[in-house]
Amino acid sequence: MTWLDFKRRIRDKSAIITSFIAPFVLASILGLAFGNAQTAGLVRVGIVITSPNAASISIVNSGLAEAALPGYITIKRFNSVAQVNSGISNHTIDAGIIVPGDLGSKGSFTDLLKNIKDLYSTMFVQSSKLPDKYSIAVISSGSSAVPGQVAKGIAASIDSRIYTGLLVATTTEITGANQPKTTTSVANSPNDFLSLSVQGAVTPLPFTLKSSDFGSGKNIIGYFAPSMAIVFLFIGAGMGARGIVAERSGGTLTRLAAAPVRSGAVVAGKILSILVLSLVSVFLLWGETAVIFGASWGNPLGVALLIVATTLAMCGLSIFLTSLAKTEQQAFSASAIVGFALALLGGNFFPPGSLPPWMQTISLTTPNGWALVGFGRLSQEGFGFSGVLGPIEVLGTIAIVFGIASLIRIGRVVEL
Amino acid sequence: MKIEKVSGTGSLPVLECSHLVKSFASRKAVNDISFHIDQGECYGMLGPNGAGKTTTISIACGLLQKDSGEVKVNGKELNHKSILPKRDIGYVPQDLALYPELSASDNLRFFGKLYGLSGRDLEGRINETLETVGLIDRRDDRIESFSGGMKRRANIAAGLLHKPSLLVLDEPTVGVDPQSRNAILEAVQLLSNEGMAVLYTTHYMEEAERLCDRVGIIDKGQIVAEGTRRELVEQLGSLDRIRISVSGMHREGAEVLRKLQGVQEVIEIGDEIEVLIPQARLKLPSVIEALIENHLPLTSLEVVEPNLEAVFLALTGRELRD
Ligand SMILES: Nc1ncnc2c1ncn2[C@@H]1O[C@H](COP(=O)(O)OP(=O)(O)OP(=O)(O)O)[C@@H](O)[C@H]1O
Ligand SMILES: [Mg+2]
Repeated sequence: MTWLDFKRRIRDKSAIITSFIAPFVLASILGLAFGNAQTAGLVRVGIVITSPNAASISIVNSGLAEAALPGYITIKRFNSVAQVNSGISNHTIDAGIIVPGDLGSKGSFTDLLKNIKDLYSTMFVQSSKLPDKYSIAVISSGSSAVPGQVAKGIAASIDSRIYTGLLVATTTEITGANQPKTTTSVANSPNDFLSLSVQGAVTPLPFTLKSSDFGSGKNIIGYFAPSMAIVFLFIGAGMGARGIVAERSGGTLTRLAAAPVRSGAVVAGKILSILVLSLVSVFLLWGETAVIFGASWGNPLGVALLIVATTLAMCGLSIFLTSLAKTEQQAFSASAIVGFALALLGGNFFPPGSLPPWMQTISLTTPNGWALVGFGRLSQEGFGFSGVLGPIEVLGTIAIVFGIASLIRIGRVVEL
Repeated sequence: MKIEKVSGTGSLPVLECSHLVKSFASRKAVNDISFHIDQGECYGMLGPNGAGKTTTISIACGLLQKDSGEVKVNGKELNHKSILPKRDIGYVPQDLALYPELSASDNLRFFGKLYGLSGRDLEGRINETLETVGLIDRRDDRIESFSGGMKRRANIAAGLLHKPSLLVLDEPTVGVDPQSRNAILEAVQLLSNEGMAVLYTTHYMEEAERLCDRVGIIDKGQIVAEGTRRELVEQLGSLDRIRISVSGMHREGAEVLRKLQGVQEVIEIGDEIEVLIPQARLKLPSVIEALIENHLPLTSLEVVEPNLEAVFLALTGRELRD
């Protein structure tokens, strides 16, 4: 019964759009709107260190580590600038970063500081020619702005490493804290200075730099995807339940009632097919956004449990609402209006953490709000599954209350 | 050639309804209705709009909870909660009850599975039933692409799929073109001849006359008369008419016929003579004999029996169709 019903529903184009296509498209749009380095697909960045030495290699490495690159960005290392250039023209990479490897090794302290300052003004030149001695260059094919932006972000991250390394070194120099031996001969011993700055560069920073270029891009989809799933769960379940009302007016329900099948089985079959379709759509969205955007929804167990609780709550509420409607038309308007009202009040269209306090309070009167708290904790704040037990409890209660109410109401619709 | 009917074994009726009562709010839609249908019998339920036909059928098929009374299908009691006895019934609702977005065969597959059919058995039945209703070449087309008449026929196919012993059709020809209507009537006739019991509701008198072995006339929730057409007409006491032409000699003819025993009235209508006489067919030989004896040139002779329309009119004082 469920399977027959399910098969029938997935042949319905509007069901496919509501359950599978719309949430994905909207999540992508919102993700792009609110995220910075959001891209569709992978970005491959080539990196080369010209005449590398131990110092420059470790600076680059820690710069890359600092960037905390998401899954959709891959780094390829090259040995020469020519390789990077040909990689771009062959489209095996989307952008290239050229780091001068003898950075600082020959310059004096002032020289270096001057160059570092210059770095900021010169590094974002898009050119395929070899960069100046002390500046990091970013090369991109120019066909798409996104890979260039990503590479610039990575370059900035490497650069900040050099700069903080210098800062640490300079501070140490001036205060004489750790390196009393070199106090007087900084300017004359660039190698000592370099070793200091490298040491500073690879030491973890005392504060965390928020890498807004990448982090938010990844997580914003990891947040908006479940958020849109919530909205369309409600609308999709409403459509499914409307199908039951339609079967009544379309007469097929009479035929079902005439068949040697329990009316309870008919109701259960219908509701189960709605739930199955809803669950499949959300889990699929989870997989899609992970593969295509490298988005992370957070702790998998927490996400899975929260998806189930959210699906049950939203479907329960939506089916109940539909079962109250007298006509199909009424059911349609009701689920659209209530669906979007819940989405607006619940905060589904806002980026995580952007709701003013008074709206946060309002949002918690909706299942949407509670589900978003859960998904936000998982994707934005890195909570484990125990962190979403609260929202799951609230959603579970909503699911039980409206689930039972729906069963009773739909049972009555099926009775002739 | 008329196929010999597989007649009832005389044992159990396929459907037996006793004293069915059903009210909606204060209105009694069905008020103490009893009837039965034997194997191979086609029972017609004839009545105007709102008479209670659909309500009676819904109770008989276990779709609707009755207030009181009893329904037995092949000896098994059936109510709105029954499961197994419903297998014996093939129900064809008054309104189209198919999924328009699915093809004819997909619809039948869906409903066939509900009746426990599957696999090759199911596929075989799908083809057979589509053959029966003449839709086999539209097998894989969506229902929404069908004409009204074709939809009706597909609707019937869905009720036949599981070879029920009782086929229940609720006004299957309403709003159907003559071609489809004929196809439907022929299919029903064939099934009935093959031994299927048929409950057929209609407000078309001609259909009941053509198809049904017995007819129940229903009005305001009650069966006001029941029997074969013959019985009904006799019950009404209306007289048959014999329409006679005796070229140019109708006056003489009328004279002769008036003297004939049993004749109640003789009317001259133009060149023709109409004789009102009970059981006209039995009296035909004596009528012909009398005319020949008096050397009257008989050119044509026709027996006109009163129809169900007349019966209905006589019983209710209303026309069958408003
Ligand atoms: N669900 C219902 N609620 C209230 N009244 C009903 C309901 N179903 C039928 N009735 C009433 O019961 C009476 C009998 O209706 P029914 O549908 O059985 O008539 P019918 O003989 O099938 O008529 P038709 O030829 O128009 O199909 C009508 O007066 C109708 O208004
Ligand atoms: Mg009816």
